Amino acid sequence: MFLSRIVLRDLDSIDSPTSMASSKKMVTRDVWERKLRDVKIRKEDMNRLVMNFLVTEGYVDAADKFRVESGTQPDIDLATITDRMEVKRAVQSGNVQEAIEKINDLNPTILDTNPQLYFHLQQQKLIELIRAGKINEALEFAQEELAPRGEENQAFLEEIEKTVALLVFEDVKNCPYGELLDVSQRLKTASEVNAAILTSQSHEKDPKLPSLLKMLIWTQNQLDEKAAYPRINNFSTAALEDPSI
Amino acid sequence: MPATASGGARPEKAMPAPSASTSCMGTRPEELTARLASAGAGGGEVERERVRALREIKNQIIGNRTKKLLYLRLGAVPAVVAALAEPGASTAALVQAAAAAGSFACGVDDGARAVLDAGAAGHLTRLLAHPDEKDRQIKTKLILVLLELMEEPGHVGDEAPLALTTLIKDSLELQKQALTTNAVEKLSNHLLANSLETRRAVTILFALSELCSKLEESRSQLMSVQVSTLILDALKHDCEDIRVAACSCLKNISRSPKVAALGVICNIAVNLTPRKSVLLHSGVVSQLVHLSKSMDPTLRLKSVWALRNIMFLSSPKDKDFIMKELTLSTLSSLICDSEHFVQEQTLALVHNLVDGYLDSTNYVIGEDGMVIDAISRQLNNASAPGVCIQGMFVLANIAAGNELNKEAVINVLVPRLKPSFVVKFLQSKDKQLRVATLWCILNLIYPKCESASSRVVRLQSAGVILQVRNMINDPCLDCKVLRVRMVLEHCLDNSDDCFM
Repeated sequence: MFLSRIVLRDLDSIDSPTSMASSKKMVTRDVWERKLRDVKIRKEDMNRLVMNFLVTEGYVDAADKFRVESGTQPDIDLATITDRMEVKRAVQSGNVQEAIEKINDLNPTILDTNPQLYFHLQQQKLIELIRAGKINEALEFAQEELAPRGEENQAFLEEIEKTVALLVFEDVKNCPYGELLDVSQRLKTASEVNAAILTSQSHEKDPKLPSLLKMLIWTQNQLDEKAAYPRINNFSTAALEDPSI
Repeated sequence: MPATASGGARPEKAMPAPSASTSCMGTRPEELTARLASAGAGGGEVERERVRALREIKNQIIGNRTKKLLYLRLGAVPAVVAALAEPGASTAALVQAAAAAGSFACGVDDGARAVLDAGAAGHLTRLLAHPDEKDRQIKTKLILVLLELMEEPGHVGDEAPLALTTLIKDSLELQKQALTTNAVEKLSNHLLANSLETRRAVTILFALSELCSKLEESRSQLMSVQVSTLILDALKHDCEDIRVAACSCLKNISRSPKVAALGVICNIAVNLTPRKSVLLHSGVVSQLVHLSKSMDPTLRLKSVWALRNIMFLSSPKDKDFIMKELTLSTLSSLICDSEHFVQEQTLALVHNLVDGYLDSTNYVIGEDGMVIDAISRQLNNASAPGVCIQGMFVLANIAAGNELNKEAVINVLVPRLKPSFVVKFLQSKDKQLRVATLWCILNLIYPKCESASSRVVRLQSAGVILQVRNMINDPCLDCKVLRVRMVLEHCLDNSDDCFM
């Protein structure tokens, strides 16, 4: 990503005004790799990025081991991570009530001051009841807990309708809004909980690595307009793929 | 009904609220409320049950406005608040009760009122005095709750900061707790984001004042540029309540002996010209005067510096006020302070004192000339250049006054029984000193009159006139200009070619 920035600069100075945008500069792999080698990155910076990721996502043991091996200091007290992770784990396993009780033990003001989060947790609770086939309970719950949320805040009505609609269908998994029953929905709620707890502890809720990846993708997209170069298409392998002409 | 629902009639009576962790005691609000109202603190299982009930209520109401209103109607609040005062209550019960009470007050006006009506403030205050480590959690949570309450519209939000003030009053321990919750920052931010014209602004200012009464760290947090500007605005506000509250803030800040706070007051004073009168009567001046007598030379320096800035462009009435607090004898001692940087600042203060108003020179030459004697002493003692420069500026300003003033100054420059330091100053490498001295001399020989001529004679006999003549090639432009003025003053009808 740093390299593609450098190339963009080079291109700007080389291209004469008369050559139109349709001509793309070609960068061979040799040249690209050489330029890559010239870019210096500090190990400490890398370590801090990794630590920041582990700590924000809540991998306590990994963070601790990493701290011992690399000497990098975590930017949160690792002890506070355990509580947060228990809440996250509860949501991810579908034990929403447990999660709510744990959050309230951790900090009773979080749910009182995050109506959207509270609503999503209750929505998740309803989803879990539907998933478990406990339709009676689900109906009661929808009436007693979800409907009031809609009364308190109209913005939630659409989501409530979607969720309650699940009760109407026999084959819940394949109905419209069936994606609410996916594990991904649990993960979404868990992530929201994680962010709220981090914010209440005055910590940034997002790790920095994803932002860096976004920058990389953006930079490549920009460079695509001006050059053909070895591109990273697979972000898990980060392999350079030769430019096609 | 969908086919997946269990068919047949369902009983009409109420069913337990669905909960993954339904406890055997039941979770209906009516039941819980009744249970809590009848239970007192006990031992073992009884207490555990009480804790469970409180916790269940807490978990039902947090985030849930509808449930809060329901419990309110059921009259649960008095029982919850009473749990805070239950003698022999376990820490667990207190924690749950506090969290529940806090939640009732959050986001629901009636809830907040009910909590306060039930006497929560008193119980909370007592709890906060509790030295128990575990109770520190409660204290911090309570402070957090009050800070949240401050965001609520209406009466609740207006009074929350006052409740906070009461809670932390005179308690270093609690102010430390408040630090950990970023209370100063939150209160300041709210103040900055909203109009000063409100009751809430007044209560917040008082809360800030109390928060900063004992802790240096809180005070430095308060003195950010934006907040200090805001407090200054509050000092001149039309509404008296706001002015009073702002003064209270300022008074607590200026209580600090630390150098940093002084530096800030100093800087405030520089920017203050239209609002000075308000600052003056906030008690800052007497604090600064007190600090100017400190054992610590840095404190003396900074306090004198602040006074210097306050003195700048002050009205005669304000100068009078300051000098009454400072006193001439203190001023004289400061001029002869052991540290030259204090001497210099003091003389700069005197410079600002005599600047602009004729009567102010009385401070310097009045009272048997206490102050001017001190200045003379310093000028004669081969003091640091900065001191001499400031001293000469003072004398130059005085020499711009009436005959009495000029005579007083010439007696310093050319004393009857001592050699004069003037020539030495005119030969100084420091151009500022040369300029200041030339100014002084010019003021002594202008305007032309008999007394002026006799002063010229005195200067001449001290070799001053000769020295000025020799400064024809002085590299400093200001010196050249002053010298030319003196030539013009005296060349016209003076047959003496002493200047040519």
